[in-house]
Amino acid sequence: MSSVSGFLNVYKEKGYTSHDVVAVMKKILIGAGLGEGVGKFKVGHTGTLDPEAEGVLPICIGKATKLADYAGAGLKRYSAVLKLGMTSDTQDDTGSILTESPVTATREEIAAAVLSFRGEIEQVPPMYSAVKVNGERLYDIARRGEVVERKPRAALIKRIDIVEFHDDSTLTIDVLCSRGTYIRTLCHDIGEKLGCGGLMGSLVRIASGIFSIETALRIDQMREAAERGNLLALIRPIEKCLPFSSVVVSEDATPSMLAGNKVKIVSITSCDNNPKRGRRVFARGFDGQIAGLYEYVYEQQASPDDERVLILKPLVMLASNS
Amino acid sequence: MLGNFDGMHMGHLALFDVLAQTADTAELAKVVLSFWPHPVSYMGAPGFGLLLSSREKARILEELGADTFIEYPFDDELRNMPPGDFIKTVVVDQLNAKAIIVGEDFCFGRNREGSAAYLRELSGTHGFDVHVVDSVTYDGERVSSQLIRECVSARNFGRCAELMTRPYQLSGVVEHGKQLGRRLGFPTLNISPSPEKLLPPNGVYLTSASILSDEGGQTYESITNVGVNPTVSEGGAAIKCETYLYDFDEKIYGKEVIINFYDSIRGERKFKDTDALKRQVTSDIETGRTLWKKLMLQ
Repeated sequence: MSSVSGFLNVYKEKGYTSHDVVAVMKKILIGAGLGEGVGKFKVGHTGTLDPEAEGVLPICIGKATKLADYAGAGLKRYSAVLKLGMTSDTQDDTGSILTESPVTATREEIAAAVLSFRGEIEQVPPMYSAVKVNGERLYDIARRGEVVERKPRAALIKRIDIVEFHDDSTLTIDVLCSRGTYIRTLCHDIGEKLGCGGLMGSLVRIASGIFSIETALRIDQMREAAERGNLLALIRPIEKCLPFSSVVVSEDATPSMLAGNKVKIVSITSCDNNPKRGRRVFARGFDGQIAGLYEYVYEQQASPDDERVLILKPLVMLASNS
Repeated sequence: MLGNFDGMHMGHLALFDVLAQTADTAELAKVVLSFWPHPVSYMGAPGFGLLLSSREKARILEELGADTFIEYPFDDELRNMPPGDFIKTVVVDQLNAKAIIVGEDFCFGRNREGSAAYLRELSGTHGFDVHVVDSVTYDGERVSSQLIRECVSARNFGRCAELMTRPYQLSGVVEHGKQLGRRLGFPTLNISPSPEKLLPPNGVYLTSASILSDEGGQTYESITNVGVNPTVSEGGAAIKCETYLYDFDEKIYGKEVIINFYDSIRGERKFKDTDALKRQVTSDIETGRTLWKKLMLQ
């Protein structure tokens, strides 16, 4: 039997690595008869969630693994507990405490400091992170007790709000941010700004792109669904999980498209209300078969008098014969 | 999000919050899909009026940041459509919805068979995400459009404003009246509210008038008469909405205004002559000034 493709919205619990979740889900999928065999059948995730963190971890299955990068490029929303008045080597409460100092800022001052991180910010990756410097993972260097220079990286905080104060130095924040934003570094930097230091107490990913916590299911719930034969219904089609529209291509142009060629814009038979350079769309053949993810690009015509024309260039082929 | 959203009250705003959060995180367009005419008025319920006209609802949604507001035609075909067909043809095929947000009490399709639970079932087939938002309770009561309509009819504008998070409003383009007010010495600004609107009982009200312009608009304290002018018109006249603005005397025909309602001053009465009417209006204007002062001190 053939393998399925799509995404599953998994709720990762504390203690699991993201890789553990992928491995367990792969077993469950194969057990449910939804994957061909261990070797050929691909399962992945769209962006690591630290073992101590919990929440939304979208799992990509089959051909959807080719789109993991696109699915992971979306915004992430987190709920984090920020503890002020201390710092640690890992920037969260799993590490060794480095400093402790009293919190003198008022709640208004704390709120102002938190909100000041909205917009484009720069973060220095924490020593305990998977970023590589000179080919070596930072956490490996950190475990040897060394500290190396890291280049700041850009991050976008689209929205940041205070959900509630638990006491005068502990609060929950809600952050909508770009991929690659370190929430524990954000907590650390808020603490630095206030002068008292800060670290991340706990982290829950509330949403990753379209996947949100409301519909995310824990591994035991996935296993239960598999036992009742309902797992397939939980797998979401690729096109529904990414923020791109879909177009349909004419019968004439379909075979060439499915073979991996570019598509002329005149071959699109469905309505696309906004064709423009850089825009990405899924394309389907006239019979509904998905061909892949495409991008509108300009192509220079052979004859120099011709104007450049807009075409669809394949980015990721998803057709079954590709 | 799907629903009628008459009033865009606290409950609807809770839905919009979820819509905005979901759409912002997933980088999707925020689409509000309503029905026109309102299914209840299509079914011909006598005396049924809406808290918001199409235009008013569109204006509020635009301010909230909705990308698209669709009023899907509600007719016999839609009314008799199996709920699954509606979702497939309109929401999935035409709108390509990736997430759907509804209130827990949302019903749709033939015999109102479609429910939030049914949408969840369909999500497996079509692959969209479903968010069901709980009703909002305020002062121990479930906030609903019907509850607010009752408040308008009971002239309880304070509660309307709380539940909708904005005052009850009438809006329209300033028209030429009969110049009667101007002759009596009280020039008024006249609008014809949309016919589908729920109007408060005939009477005089404490209001504010916002004259809209490209730069945003200007708001004036005012009082408004809603009624048929029984002293000077024959029976059967259409209901008018006439507003007297304090400290304003410009002609603004053709401009759009929003009249916000805050309090009731008196019910509609027929006077024996225009002199008696004039004395009453003078007193209404004084009452309005006093009430506005009080309101500003609160």
